[in-house]
Amino acid sequence: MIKVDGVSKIYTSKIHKPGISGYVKNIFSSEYSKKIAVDNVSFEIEKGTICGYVGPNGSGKSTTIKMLCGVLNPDCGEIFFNDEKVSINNKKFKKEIGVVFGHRSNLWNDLPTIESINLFKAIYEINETEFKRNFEFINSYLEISGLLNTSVRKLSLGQRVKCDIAVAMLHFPDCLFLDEPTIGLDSDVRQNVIKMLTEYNKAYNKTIIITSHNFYDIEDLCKRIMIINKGKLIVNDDIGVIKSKHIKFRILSLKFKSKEETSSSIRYISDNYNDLDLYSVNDFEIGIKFKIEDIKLTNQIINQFINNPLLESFEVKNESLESIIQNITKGEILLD
Amino acid sequence: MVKFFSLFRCFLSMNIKKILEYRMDFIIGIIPSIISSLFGLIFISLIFENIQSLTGLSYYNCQMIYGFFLLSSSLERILCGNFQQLRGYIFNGTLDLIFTRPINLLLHLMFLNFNEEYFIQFIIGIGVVIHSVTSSGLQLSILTLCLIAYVSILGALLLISITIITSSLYFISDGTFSLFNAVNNLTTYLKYPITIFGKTIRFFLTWVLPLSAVSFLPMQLASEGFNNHLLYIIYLTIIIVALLMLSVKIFFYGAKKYQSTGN
Amino acid sequence: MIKSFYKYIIWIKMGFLSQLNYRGIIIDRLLGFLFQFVLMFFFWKAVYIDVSIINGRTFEEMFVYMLLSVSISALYLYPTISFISMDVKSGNITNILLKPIDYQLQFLNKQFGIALFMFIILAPIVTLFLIIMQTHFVGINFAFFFVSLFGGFLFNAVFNFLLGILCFWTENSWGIASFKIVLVEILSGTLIPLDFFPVHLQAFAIKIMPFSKIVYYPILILQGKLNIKEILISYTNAAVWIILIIILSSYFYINLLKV
Repeated sequence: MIKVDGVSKIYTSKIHKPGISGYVKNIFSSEYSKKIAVDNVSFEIEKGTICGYVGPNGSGKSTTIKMLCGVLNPDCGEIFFNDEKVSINNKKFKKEIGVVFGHRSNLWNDLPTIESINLFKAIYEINETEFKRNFEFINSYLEISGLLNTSVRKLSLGQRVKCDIAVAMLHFPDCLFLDEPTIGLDSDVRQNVIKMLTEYNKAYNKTIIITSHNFYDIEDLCKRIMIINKGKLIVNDDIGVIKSKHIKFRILSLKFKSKEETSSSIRYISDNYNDLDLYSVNDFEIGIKFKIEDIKLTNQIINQFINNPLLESFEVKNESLESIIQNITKGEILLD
Repeated sequence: MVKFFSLFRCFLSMNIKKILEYRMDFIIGIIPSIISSLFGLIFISLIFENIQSLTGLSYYNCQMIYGFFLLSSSLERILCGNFQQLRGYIFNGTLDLIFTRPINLLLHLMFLNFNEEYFIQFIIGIGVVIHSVTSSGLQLSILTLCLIAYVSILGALLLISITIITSSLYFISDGTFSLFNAVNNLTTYLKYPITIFGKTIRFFLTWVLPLSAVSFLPMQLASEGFNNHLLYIIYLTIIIVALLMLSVKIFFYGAKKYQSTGN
Repeated sequence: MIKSFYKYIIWIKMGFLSQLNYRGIIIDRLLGFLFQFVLMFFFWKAVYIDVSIINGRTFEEMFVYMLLSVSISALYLYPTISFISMDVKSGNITNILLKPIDYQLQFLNKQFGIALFMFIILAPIVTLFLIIMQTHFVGINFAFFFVSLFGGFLFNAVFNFLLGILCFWTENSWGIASFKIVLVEILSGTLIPLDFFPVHLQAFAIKIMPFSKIVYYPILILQGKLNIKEILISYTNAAVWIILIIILSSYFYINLLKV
């Protein structure tokens, strides 16, 4: 459905020198720095996929999303949406996408939410029956009918984000681009949003592309993940594959019944084992991060404590998705 | 086409609601607009208390020029007044969202914010023109009136083209650079007869960038009739339409070059 | 003592530097002024074709007046009112409530820095035109001029602050700001020298109203058209108005606290 072919984007910006003399020089000289925000990125996304797009700050995420939405023009390479080239002037393509930029609202600040909704109804040419069905669906998860008559500027951040998401989905776009959509949402609302997006994808076979720094979002929603770092696409795989391929660490967590036992265990382990990534989760729990290969070491430690009456429980779990992705972006693995 | 009107209606109602939301501010803001437009008239009469004619033009001629200027420039401001906000839109990221919507970018920017105070200026302009024409005892045929209206619209279109080109500079410079201030200062002098300028500038304003259509030519049509000016009006039509198309092309070219802010 | 002053002086630097940031806007402004001055030249030349003196001014004096009036009003172009009203509207209001004098002084110094910047930007062009017009100003008048100018600046600054507070009640700053701009443009003598007004209005507009002290009086002083007595009266008038506006601001500000 979406095809990205060798796309790059280079930003040129003026160099600002500090101090008053720097400011004055700035008026007369023009030194520009070129930054490669997106470097020869190619990928394909099939219809009906939920795809997560992650990477550290400044990695080129937002730039890529903006190019996918038709906001920016790539400097080289092409982007196709349903085999049609994406460009700023392509209105047909824009009708089929919905966009949420978490940091900026799509709504009219001074007027009640319902006005923005009516405007989008007119812009996207949604007829009455469609509108009723779509709004029902969205409202059943987000519960925004109470917010419709409030001025947008009087809404709290979470309420505004909910309305932004609602408005983006109002015309049931074939492809939804979400850039940090769960900002400011409390866990209940966030869960409802995740449920809604999952259902939206399953029931209507819609594509969703989501960027988020909240890895719970990514894990709950996405089937596929693309990781971008320093402008380059380094991983493009299903989430299960990434986990199994790129997992490097496991975590042994030990929970004790008393604080003293916890602290003395920490002392014991650090005295007797060097080079161990040991940390305390809280007053009663400690975690040990160890490489997957070090099974023997893990067993050794477990055996040390398993007969300890003050040990409440222990658990060996895989490192989190967030941690795996951090490993990847630290330059350890490249796209194969 | 139907969509155009329904969209227009929607934006219009939203803008009206916005005015109603900030009622008091709107009323307070309309008054200076009226005072400002009227003061232009007062200025001319204060000047004419001390002189008999301005480059051969009478008091009522100058009034007429001012009135026509108000007409064309308020027409342009009503449609394009929002383009100066482009800088703000780029800086707070609103423009990104505007780009994702399936509406013609140019029309979208025009409809986003009607500068309502210019409607009042338009009406005042009509009042001034009517007053000055009747005061000078001129009788205008229907055909002359139509031609005057036509030329005024052409003048407004020319001003619109200039605004569109000026705002395109914002795209290329990422919102840091444009010439709005400079261009505004230039076009406000059209409220005076262009005969105050030297030969070269007059030539430029008549044939190259025919801003005489904004205020001077309508005055000439009203006081002299259209017989000498028909060919010129045809020339104006061709050039202004061409300039308008060029300005739209430049605008969309600029939109492609848009870099957006970092996040 | 110096330290506490420095805390405010630094705002002058902030105001100054904030204008340096975008060379595009500076070029735009400069070009705008250049165009305005050139066009003004043509206009007044045409007005003076048949007469040589209007209201006691020759063409050269008239043109210099307009040159200076545009330049002086340019010192105050910055949309201070909308920024004050934004502060008032948003969370920054706690800042204002806790330290009102501080806040006002901050803004005052910021405006001064901005005015200083515009002054430095415009000085070359204005001097160029003055040389072309072969104008001469008497030395002592410069001193009086700058005092008068500073008085006008102070009045403008406190007036801005008052209006900024009033914006709280209109919820949006556009109306009040437009109102101020037009009011000041007309009554300060920017658009046309105040002696063009009908005689019966002149006493009110010129002598009593404070706005004439922003543009009209400074230029008159520089062009040497006022004697010492008149100059001193204008200073007093400005001072009285400044104090009046400060009192008014305090009144509204206290009302603001209650809301």
